[in-house]
Amino acid sequence: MDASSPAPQDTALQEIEALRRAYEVSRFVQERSREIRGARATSDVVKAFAEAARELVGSGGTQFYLRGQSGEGMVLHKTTGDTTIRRLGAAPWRPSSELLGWVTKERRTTTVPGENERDWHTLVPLVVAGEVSGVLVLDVPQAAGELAQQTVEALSFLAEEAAAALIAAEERGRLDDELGRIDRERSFLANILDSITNGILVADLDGRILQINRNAAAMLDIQTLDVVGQPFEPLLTEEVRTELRALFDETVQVGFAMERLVTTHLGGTEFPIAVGSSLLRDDALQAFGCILVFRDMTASREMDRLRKLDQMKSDFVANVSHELRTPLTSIKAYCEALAGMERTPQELEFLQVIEEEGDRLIELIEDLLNVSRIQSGTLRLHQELAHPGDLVKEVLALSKTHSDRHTVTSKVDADVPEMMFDWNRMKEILINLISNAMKYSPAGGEISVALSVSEGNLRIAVEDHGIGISAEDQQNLFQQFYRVDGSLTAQVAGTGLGLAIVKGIAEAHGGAITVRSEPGKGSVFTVVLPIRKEPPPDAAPQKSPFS
Amino acid sequence: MNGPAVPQDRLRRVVDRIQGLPTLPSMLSSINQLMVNPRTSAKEIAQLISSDPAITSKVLRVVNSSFYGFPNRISTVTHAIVILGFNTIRSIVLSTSIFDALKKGPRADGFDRAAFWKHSIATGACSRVIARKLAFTALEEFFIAGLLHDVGKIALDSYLPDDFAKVTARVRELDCTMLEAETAVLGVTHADVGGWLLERWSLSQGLVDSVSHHHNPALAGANMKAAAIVHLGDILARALQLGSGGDRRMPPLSEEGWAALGLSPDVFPALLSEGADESERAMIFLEFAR
Repeated sequence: MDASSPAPQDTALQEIEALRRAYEVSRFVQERSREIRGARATSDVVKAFAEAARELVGSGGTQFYLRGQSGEGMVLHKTTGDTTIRRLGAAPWRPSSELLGWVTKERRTTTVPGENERDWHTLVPLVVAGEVSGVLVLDVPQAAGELAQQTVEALSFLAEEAAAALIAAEERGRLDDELGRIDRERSFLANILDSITNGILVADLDGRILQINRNAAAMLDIQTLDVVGQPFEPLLTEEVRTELRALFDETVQVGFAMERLVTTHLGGTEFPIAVGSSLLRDDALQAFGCILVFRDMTASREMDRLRKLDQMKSDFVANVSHELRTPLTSIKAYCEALAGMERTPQELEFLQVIEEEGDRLIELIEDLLNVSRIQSGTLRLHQELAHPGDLVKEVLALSKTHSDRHTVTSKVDADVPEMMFDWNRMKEILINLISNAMKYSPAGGEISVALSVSEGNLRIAVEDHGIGISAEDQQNLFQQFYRVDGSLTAQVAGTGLGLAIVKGIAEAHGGAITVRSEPGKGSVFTVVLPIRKEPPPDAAPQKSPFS
Repeated sequence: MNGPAVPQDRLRRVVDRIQGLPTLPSMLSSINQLMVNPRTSAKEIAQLISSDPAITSKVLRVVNSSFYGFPNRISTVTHAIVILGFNTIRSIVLSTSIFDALKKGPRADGFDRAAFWKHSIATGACSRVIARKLAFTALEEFFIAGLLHDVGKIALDSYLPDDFAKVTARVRELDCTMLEAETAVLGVTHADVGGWLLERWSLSQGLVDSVSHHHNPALAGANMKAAAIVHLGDILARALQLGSGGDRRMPPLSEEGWAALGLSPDVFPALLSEGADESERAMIFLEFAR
């Protein structure tokens, strides 16, 4: 046997060894390819592939290019691992756009030299549905020319597997994003539905529930929201079933229906519920269901009740005042008649007390009548052209505006003109303000009434130096029956209607009243009236802002 | 394995008269041997190729041509192997060797070799385009199959020049196809002879079948698709009027072959335009025929 040529056994052994290695590599490739294909997330695919590549050729780095949205070619999507061995400070190797274009066009897996003989890079086109949608780049830190054919093939095969898995993962990721978005949108809509205070029930044309919110379930006494797909009718209580069925049928058949009122009983409490309906249409405007909207009417019914009560009270006050005045007038008349007869001084004194108390009652009743007129908007003004200064003179001549302890002064500016106003009502205002000033300055002192003109308005200011009013009380001063709390005020007689009437009359004239006061220093009440020479164009009664 | 379309004995009677058949360079079988071993590296194959400067320069010319269109210059055979793959380089070596092998020998006057090679290269390029459209990966195999589909004509021209002159004369006279004239004169066709030659050269069964049956793919059995691709490539090259197969008649399209490819007729214009571009780039091989 020739010594230089290998023995046949040696050749056979070599072939067996080669086969064994080939088998090992193919097993390795099979295992890793299963791993790569099994990875679901993009990063897991890249990791599995990078790991397999590292075992094959000691590689670490991968780059993942995807086709750009606007046709600008391949765009770097992500990179992993270290990119080959490179000189310190050198930028990582990136394939040229020409190279990426070539791989895309040729659909060829290739391995190209990098910056030096020991840096190579494998580029794999990612083919989806016949189109190259990306390129996977693997850094091979070895002279590729020295790699065994099988290694290069195994690498290419695994890279192709990774490419397929990457595309699948990207697709899955996009789907997941889309599903997440849809999910968020759905829960957003569900939250809206459940946050609405109205109950909403949506059913298809056969009456099967498509959607129901929490409030609808609560109002209809349905225990669970898990009723989608069921016909709504059997779920309803008997007291609402007929009405809702009729409403549903009418809506489906006619296209609309009037709102209906039904009453349910939940835990023994009665709930009035208004039910509205509308047709549910698809994009083509084809009706495919019906929406029922349930509104709890408890709150609005309570409002109705209160409004009625208030009206009754107003009517009552007006009626009672009239009924009271009639007997009082008789009492006064008989008092006067008795006083005209022969009387002892003590009898006369008693009669006078009766008459005075009667007057007070009449005033009180007059106040109540005024308030109710103001409230109901039936306060009628009889405006005439007159000079406000004359009114002040008349009021100050009255005994009501005189007191031992107080001096009432008046000052009427020369430019105060004649104007339209209701003489008697304005008299009431002045008397009210002056007597209030007296009442709340128990220590006595000066009370001034000043009339002036400013910006086309008449200003009537009544000032005292009495106990004053706190800022808090000033806010409520003009409300009916409001009285300032306090030990002193408790001693002062009054109904708490005076200022409310003053305000009502001032406003009926188109004016206003304000107060400026400081506790302990006194108060200034100012009535401002617009100066008009002509009667107001609208003779109808002014609607009071009280009502 | 599928038998040729004509009785074996009739083919034998013809090919037995062919003497001094050209051989492929031994380098090809060495490359094949090396590639059987999975542990062979690109460097080892490159060393083998580089031992023949003529082949080396041809390989580098082809890999740097617009036929491959690689954006950077490929300066070594090692790089060429790594960049384009082991199989591609083997195919390139094979195709350049075939031109060399067939250049020699006498030839009949009536047969235009230049037009023949142009048509063959175009058929190879068009077959490659069709194979790419069908998402095949070993595109070089299809190029070679197309390149060699009419190799039987060269064999007849070189080694049975008298008979082949009768064939070409008959084609001119009757304006028939080469196939019809060959059948009438020889009783066998260039397809039969080509398949036989490829078998002699130990080329793959796929190549043998697609050459033997490129006029009737339905007979190619397991390799019917490959034969159909070459069949269609031949027709595309004729439609593009690139070179000549020796006659002026377009062979009829095999319906079964067309059906086997599963292509829609809509792709035809795209195949034609891509085939034209690819053929133009492939004409680099034409210089090896001179």
